[in-house]
Amino acid sequence: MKTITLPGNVLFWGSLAAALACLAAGYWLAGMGWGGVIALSLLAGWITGRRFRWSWLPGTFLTVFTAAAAGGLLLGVSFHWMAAGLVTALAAYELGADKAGLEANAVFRNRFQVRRAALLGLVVLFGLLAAEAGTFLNFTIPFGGLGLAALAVLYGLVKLFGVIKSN
Amino acid sequence: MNSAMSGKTNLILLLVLGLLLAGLVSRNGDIPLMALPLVFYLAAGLLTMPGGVRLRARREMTSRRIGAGQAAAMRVVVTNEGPHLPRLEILDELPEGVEVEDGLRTERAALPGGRDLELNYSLRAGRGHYSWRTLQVTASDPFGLFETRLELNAPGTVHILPPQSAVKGLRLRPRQTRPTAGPHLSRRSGLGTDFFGLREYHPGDSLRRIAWRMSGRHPGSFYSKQFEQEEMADIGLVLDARAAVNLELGGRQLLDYSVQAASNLAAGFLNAGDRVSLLILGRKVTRVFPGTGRRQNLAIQEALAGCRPGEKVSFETLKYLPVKLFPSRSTLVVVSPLRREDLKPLSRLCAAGYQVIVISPDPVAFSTGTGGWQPSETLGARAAALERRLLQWQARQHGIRVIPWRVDQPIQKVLRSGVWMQP
Repeated sequence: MKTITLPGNVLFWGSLAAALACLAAGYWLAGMGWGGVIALSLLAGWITGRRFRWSWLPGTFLTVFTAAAAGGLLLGVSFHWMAAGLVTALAAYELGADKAGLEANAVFRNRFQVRRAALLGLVVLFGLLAAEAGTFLNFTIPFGGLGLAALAVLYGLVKLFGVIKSN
Repeated sequence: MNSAMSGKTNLILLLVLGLLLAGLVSRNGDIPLMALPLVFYLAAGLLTMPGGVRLRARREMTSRRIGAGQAAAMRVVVTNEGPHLPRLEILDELPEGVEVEDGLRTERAALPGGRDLELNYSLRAGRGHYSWRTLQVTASDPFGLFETRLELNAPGTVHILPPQSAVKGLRLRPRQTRPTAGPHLSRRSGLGTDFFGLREYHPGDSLRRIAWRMSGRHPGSFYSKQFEQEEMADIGLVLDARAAVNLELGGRQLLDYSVQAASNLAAGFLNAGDRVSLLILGRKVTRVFPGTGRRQNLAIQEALAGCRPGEKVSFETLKYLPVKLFPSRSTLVVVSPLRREDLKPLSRLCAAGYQVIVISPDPVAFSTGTGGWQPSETLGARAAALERRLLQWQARQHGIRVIPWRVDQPIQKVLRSGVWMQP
């Protein structure tokens, strides 16, 4: 079977590098050099996980990255770096979750990879634009509204856990 | 069909809700904005999710019957009879004991409507019957967020047959033959090549059969030569697959040698022109009724392929042999390591008129490698070997012909030694 090793691998490693670079840069610019340590740890974890084929690796990476990005915002890191980092981490997550890699000898398989990459690119682009556009919105939510929103989120979480449990 | 959110969807939803909650708790408006790319990701998956999945599968194999040690080629084709599927994953689960030798049994690709997606792989397995029923298929959006799982009907069966090497030159003198042309001398005159006797000439006898010397000594009368009719015999094979007599050492089983011996014997008898039937006393009692030719050989091979050791079976079952399976006064060839309690049922068969021959794989030789006769063997092994020899002598006293067989030697060597000669 003919194997193609590019460009899927280039896209994945490029996304991962961009995500970790955004995270490290955002923290460093905010005066917190230890953000680079988090980025390097994530990179080491990913390389090790691919070596040993840990199936839980992509999900764990995205979760930790999201937590690091949200934590960075709370500590005063720039939103633009964290948002850019998160969208590229999402792309790395999607491309890295494909265990089969890129083995291709059929038109279908090439078409599938190309369309998936194209759709992912659109999601990343519009997701980042939407997030950036949101920073221009300024409105105040009253306390009651906040409480209702919190209850709605909690209700959503409970329903989600119920679905996960039943699955 | 089962539509569900995948584990990826659950994770993304958790992250979205987590970010919203974190934003609400910290009253930081930027944190919920971070959830927007994740929401776009989910929305893209939802919008590109395929609807109306209609798939059909079929399974093709190069051959349903494969010899042991050979690889079988499997081809599974999935046809999309519905709309374009942006992501289709197929997985062919393997029955226990089957290994993939080459190729992949899983595939992921996009599949336009009306097109096929194929799996091609070769497999290898030990002796037995292996069946496939369904194919696991998952159709989803390109990111695998919203899945539709199906099990497509794709039945298939492969029989891995035991190795077979027909024994040639078997010399057997059955007690009774059937009135059908075959390889055995029947002690009756008829069509054949062995000289049987002389009789008076009858009009219609071939001139080539006239015994001129005898006719010359008796002027005025002619005599014709008679030849011994060659007829087929009924041979019944009985394979002892009881767990109590089966030994397992280093991945090898004594039963496998017995199965191969039965397979070779069946091929030898059928090739010679006899009618052969089979009874397997194993995990289930398997019967193959008498038949001849290549088709019967295949039926016997298939029955032997599925033979497994059985716990709850004994030779007492032989008391209830249907005559249709083993006709009266036929020859029974029993492949069994033999135990003391087996003598009684076998003696009963001899008393009923059957010609009983036992081919006995030696379990002592199988476990020690020497048969227990070397001075260096343990006392236990030597005692076991002596006990076996006594058992074989007792069997001969009952009229049962026993052929001891060391399984490290080919069965052909033992069977060509002419021990069958006695009727």
